[in-house]
Amino acid sequence: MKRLHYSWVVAGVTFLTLLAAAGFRSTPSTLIVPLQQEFGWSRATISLAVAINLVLFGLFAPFAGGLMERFGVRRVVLAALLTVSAGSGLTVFMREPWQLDLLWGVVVGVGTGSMASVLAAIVANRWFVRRRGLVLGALTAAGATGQLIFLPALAWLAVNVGWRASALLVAGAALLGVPAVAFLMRERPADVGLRAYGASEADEPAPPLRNPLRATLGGLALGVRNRNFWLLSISFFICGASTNGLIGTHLIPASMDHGLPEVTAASLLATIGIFDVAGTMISGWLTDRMDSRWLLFWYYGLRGLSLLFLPYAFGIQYFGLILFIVFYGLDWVATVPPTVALAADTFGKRNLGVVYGWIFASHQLGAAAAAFGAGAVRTYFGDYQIAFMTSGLLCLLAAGLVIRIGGARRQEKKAAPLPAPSY
Amino acid sequence: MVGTALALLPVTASAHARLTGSDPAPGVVLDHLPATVNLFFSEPVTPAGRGISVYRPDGHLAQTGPARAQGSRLSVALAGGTDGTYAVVWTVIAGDTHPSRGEFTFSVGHASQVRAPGQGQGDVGLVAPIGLFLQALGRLMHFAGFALAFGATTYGLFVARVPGPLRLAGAGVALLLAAEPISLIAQTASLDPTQTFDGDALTSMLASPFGRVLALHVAAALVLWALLGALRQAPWLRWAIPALGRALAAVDATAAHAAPSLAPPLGLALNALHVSAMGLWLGGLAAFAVAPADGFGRVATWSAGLLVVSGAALALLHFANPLELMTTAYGLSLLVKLPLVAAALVLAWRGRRRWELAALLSVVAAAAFLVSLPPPR
Repeated sequence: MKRLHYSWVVAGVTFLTLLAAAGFRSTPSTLIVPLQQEFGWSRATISLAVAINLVLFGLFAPFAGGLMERFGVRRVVLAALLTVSAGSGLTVFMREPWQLDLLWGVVVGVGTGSMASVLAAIVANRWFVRRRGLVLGALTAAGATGQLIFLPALAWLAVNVGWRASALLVAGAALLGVPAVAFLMRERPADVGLRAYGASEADEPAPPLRNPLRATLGGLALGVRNRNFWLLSISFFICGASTNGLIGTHLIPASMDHGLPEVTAASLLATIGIFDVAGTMISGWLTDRMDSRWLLFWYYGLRGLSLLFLPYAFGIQYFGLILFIVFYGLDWVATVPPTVALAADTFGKRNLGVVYGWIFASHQLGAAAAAFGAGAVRTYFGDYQIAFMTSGLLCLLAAGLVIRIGGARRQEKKAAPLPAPSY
Repeated sequence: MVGTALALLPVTASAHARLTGSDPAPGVVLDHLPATVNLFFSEPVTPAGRGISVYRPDGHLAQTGPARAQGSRLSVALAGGTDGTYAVVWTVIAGDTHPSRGEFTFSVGHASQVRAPGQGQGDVGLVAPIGLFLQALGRLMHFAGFALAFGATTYGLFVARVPGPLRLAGAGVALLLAAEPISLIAQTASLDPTQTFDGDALTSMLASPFGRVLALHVAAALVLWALLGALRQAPWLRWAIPALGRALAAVDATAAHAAPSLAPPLGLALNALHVSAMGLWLGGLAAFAVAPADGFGRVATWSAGLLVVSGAALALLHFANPLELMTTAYGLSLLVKLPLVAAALVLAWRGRRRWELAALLSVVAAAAFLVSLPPPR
């Protein structure tokens, strides 16, 4: 029997790192109500920290890519784990809202952002030639699903032991990752005397990245002159607002407003995370076969209708809510494969990474805007109805935007979808 | 999509909320200040703003907080106060989104001068006149937008089979969207013109049943806009447009006066039919002006017929006796509307399409007022 190729070990470590980083990032949404109860801070105040955290999780990624090129993947990930551990551990001592913004918002946001999508792209590109798409897909799914599946356990801790226990658990888990990454993570296949998985002698080792800052700004310059870039960015902004920002952050406190226990509410989100895996795979499969604009048209249209249905779903208790969960879960990041495919069609595969980086940044800005906006709406209006309905309407707007993506020079057969940017 | 829209509809049977009783009763003189003021309405209500404001003889508020609603009862707890006359001002939203307000006084120990803000003076149909005007304006824009968005497109897609009338749909979407901010400030202006742009008043309105109907109106306009974009690549989707139109008519029906003495689904269907027929006739006429086609005569005949029959049924259901035509604002508006309908029908019969369009627009304007007023029953 052949020995396991070391690429799979690296992929495994990366998978766990991404899963954990996403879990760390999502922890604050289980803390909203406990923090409100202990310190008397408003939802708007607490949501601001979540918003900072969401923005940095998305926007720090391109810069983390540069750091990884300069200092090495292993060192950057180790530093990120220590940063998350410190940021999360120190919250135990916090007294003032600005400390929450600094620790959960800035420190944990930068730390988790350093371990996000760019890490997936770099590892997949350096270590795999064959199965690169599969690995990239699995690593991307880890990033999306990890934000949801740990919530029940974290919520249970927050309710039964206290929010400080959740924070310490995150700090401890990040510290536990340190030896694993230190011993198992390697920079390049050559470091362990191998070629990338499935690579032949003819395959060049993955070329070093261009200066990430310059490449990133160049991608923006390329994008802003293109109508499709704006249509994709605005619709992806709405996507982020209606997933991570609104539902990911506020479904738990909103369900608690309607009398559901916190752990049950967190389990609902975790269920979304499970359906999300199925939905993303189906969507990737569909993207190979159908017009991506139509896929997005239906995804956004149906998501909008289910959000408009949500305030009524709370009225008819569990059944309506379960219907919403299944439906919304299937649709959660199903928008990613068609959006990437459309970006690839418009800008070509060579420019996809940098341009998609900006489209993804728009996604995170949307998430942050909704996380903060919905918290503010709840604080001032006493109910989430306005927030849910507004995002439902925005999704319908997105459906109208994506169907108008041009046009004339798009080829009939689309290039194979890439589930994540390849920087 | 239509199924989802129908599932979203709140099933309520209601008209404008009227005060049917109160404790303390209007005008009584009590020995002691009661602990609470209870108001009883003709149907379940949502408080707008404070819901109830009780003013002490010195003009300050006498209550401890905002009013709480329990079905059709609204109550507010009172803090202590001096002897004299207290003014009670109430502002509520009914299940069908219509706002209404009113006021009365009661006294403790002895009567005194009332120093409350004089609300409810000169009200028309339980609301401030400026609010009523804005409500009617918002509804006129909504109905006209509905006609252009759905009637004109239905005519263009299924009768004339030319793309010209589809351009009117864009204007229809714009009108539908523009109508909503006007309807929103109409609600706040109806209850208190001085608080029209007050943030709390506007947001409490959005959190009420009115907010849900507003969201569904905007949703229908956005879905239509998305469909218009999709139509270029998938012509078969044209069937979704009349279906969406019917769904929006059903939403409108929940926000219209429910027909009394009729099972709620039947009343809703009758209202929705009336709105749909209006859209088809008016929108078809506008589209006919852009792209004349022979098939229009049949569309006009059928839609006018349905409009008159459903309208007559609704009118009969809302009146208990013919005198109410003369004694209520609702009846008087109907008296204005009827000759306009007759004129539109005559002009239609004689094929004077432009004049027919003008007459029909004035009918819709009259209808917009009618729907904003409380029916006799």
